[in-house]
Amino acid sequence: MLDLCLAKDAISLMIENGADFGELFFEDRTSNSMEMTNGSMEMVSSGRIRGVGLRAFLGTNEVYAYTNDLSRDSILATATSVGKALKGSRNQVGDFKLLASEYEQIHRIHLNPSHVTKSVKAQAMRLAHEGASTFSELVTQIKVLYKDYDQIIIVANSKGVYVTDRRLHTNLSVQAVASQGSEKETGSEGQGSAKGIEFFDEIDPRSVGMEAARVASKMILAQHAPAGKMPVVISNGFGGVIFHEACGHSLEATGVAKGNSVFAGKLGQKIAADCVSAVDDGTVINECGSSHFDDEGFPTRKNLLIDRGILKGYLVDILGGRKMNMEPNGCSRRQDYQWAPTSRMSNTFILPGKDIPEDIIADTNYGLYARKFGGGQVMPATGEFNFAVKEGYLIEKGRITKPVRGATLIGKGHEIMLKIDRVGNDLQMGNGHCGQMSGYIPVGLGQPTIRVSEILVGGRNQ
Amino acid sequence: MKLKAFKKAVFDYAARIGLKKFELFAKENYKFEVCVSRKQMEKFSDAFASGCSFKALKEGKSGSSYTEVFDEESAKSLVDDAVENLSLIDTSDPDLIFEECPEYLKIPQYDRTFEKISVEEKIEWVLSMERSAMESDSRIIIVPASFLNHKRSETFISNSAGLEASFTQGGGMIGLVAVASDGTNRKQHNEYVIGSSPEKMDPVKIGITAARKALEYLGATSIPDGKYPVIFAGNVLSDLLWLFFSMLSAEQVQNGYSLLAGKLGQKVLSEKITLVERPNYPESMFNTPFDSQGVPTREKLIVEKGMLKTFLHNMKTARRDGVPPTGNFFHEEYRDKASIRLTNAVVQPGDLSLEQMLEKMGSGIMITDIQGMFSGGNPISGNFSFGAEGFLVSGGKKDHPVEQIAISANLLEMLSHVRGLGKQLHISYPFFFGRWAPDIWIDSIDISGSSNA
Repeated sequence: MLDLCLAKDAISLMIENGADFGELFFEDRTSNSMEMTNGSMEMVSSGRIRGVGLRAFLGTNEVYAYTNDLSRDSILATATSVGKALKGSRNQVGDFKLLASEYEQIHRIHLNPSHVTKSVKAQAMRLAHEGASTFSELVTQIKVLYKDYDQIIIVANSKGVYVTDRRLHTNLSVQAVASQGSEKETGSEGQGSAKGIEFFDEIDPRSVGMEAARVASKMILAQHAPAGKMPVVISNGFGGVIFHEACGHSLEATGVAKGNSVFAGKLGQKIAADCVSAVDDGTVINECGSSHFDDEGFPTRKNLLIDRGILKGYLVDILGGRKMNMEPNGCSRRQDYQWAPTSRMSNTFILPGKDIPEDIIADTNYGLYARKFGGGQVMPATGEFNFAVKEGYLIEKGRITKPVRGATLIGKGHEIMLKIDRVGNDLQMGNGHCGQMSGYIPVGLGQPTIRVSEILVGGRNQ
Repeated sequence: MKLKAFKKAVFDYAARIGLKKFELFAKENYKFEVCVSRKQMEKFSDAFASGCSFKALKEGKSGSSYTEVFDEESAKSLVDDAVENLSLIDTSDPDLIFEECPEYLKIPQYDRTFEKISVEEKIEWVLSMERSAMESDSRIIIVPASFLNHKRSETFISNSAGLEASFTQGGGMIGLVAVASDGTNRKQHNEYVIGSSPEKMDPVKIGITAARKALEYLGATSIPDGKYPVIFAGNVLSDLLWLFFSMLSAEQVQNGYSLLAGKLGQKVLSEKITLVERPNYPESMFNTPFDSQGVPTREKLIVEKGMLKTFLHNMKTARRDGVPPTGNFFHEEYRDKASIRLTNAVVQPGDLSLEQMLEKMGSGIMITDIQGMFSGGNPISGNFSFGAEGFLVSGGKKDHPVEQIAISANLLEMLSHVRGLGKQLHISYPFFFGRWAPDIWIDSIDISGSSNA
């Protein structure tokens, strides 16, 4: 761990040399990763990173630097140059005390991954492989990935904040390939959580493998998705990636603060259909994007983003707050000490509505049912987004009929949000990873089954 | 403890516990970045980090570990962890270290030119880039980011067979995002210049170009679904080829993940396409004389007139195929798993100017950008469906801007119907390796657009 006096000295040096706010982030993280290909353990790696990130502001100017040379000299020299880079006047350091925050441990870990042998993890991987390999004869290749990390952080700043947090993550994912003739299709399934090895008591690793195999063997028999605009019913759980991409990113202060978002200046205005309410909540117990504190040392919280179609809030970090004249709301995150933190989503989801999912399908004459998604991306300035449907079906006369592959959904976030016309009662969380300005981080995302009345589906023309 | 002393501690301990074969890969990274928006410095970062990864081999099995902590205790746990990790490996396919006496290409190392420019000057560059974009037209409403970054990576490789090699890579990038608005719609364009030296980088020109291109897209609309003759801009061809590049990995081939399996020596793309790997390419930030195992890199033909000439190998896959390793196994960072990739991929240019190509095509579409390159494509099936934008082409000229369309095809199938290639090469955004490609004219592509299904 990092010495408290050293942290205080580093922060003081940033202030003395011109900053009006100084922050130190320390991280010590151990990680494990294992890869099994077609049932054979091919790669096992483990490692440790440890470093310090120093950040200072002067007004809305930000300077960031990091080092993993943790000698006192190195840290203080880095702090001095960070302060000086702001070109402010030399300041007297006011009297600030770093006071450790007490908090209740709500994201409990029962079995730390470093306390079990790697063969236990390998066993879970073998079960996942077995689940996939016994599912269908169409499955020809299976890759199983296991990852965990144990991250200890300290955040201290010139406002007297001093917090420590420990975040553990465990993740198991399977990629299955199904083949027929010369064609190949993939199915993948990942389960991740801010939990320890007890995670494998809650999920059956076999079912993770089976799910990947189910999708691959379904999609290899599918025809190409149709092209054009049509209603799309999006399944619950990971389907929430549509809200994450189409709306969530555009509510981050990173873009909003400088007007670089289609939702800037829209607080209190209608930006989504009446049936849409959504939150970002970093406090969901042991969920993928949860932590006790964010990476600026604020307790995480539940932030209401949209209430019955009305924009209620943004995701605001300290710097964004300074630009927008708003209070930060516990959503600042970063990949690791090599990245300056910024406003990010934690666990983002659309709240449940009243519709029965089966009714939503039954009321759709023709369209696409998107059951599983790959990744996606968005340009917040224009709202343009796209994401890949990894498991899709045609809806014909109110019934799910043929499987279709290769569909991409394309649109503009601000237009799509207004076109959500049905929201189911079956909220479910999913999880994934999100890459943005402050790096690649685990996130939770979810939703009930929803329908978008019209969206562009990229597919093949018949 | 410095890297050199740490390496000695690791090697001493590894030898003491009886390890015969091992390798150490270390990297020292320096990164600088400055970004402004609305004349304000938004981001300024100046940072240094180093670390190393270690690979232990025993009875053909290998295990890896990495650390950023350089002390005696960490040296021991680095070795112990790698040994523990290899005990879990159950592949029968032996791993190897590079034990030959290598002859490396003579490649100039990065001379730190970006580091010789003062911070004040760099800030002035990004400010002038923003200014020239904003002032070029009142419809440019914001430059969300005008940036300059540069980095230097010193790589050190050593192994138990006595290999000692090091090389310094580096370079920088300046660019900006310009957002144009006509009051109702917004379009943005990212413009950047990348290189190992700042000499030819002209911030004012980059700013003006970004603004001009963002403005060109204003008023864009979707178009009806259908099959359209298409020209892909060179940067888009590079992005599309991403799917193809991953099929070239011998690891993917051997594990049954590549459509190119069994196709060596066969025609896999149009005979108009020749793809070369050039580990020493002018201006590239990715030049290197060796890969992360110390194997020499070589200039080589990957695809010659449509014919697949070689897969890309590491030591292990090469042994399995009974061929020499190709020098294509890279750790991006010490903490990342190494993977097989190219250094600089160059698609050989053709003989047409863009104007000639447009004229010959007559009508169709020109795609200038795609979105979702990491999510909308499937390297295992070769199928893709990407969001795209560009211009309608009519009467042999670029016409109306187009947005909100999706393009879908199978890459190998599509690239076997090439009509022509541009004579100028375009560089693409540096994801992991350098990519250069000309504009390409193709028979037709499936477009989903404004039609109702």
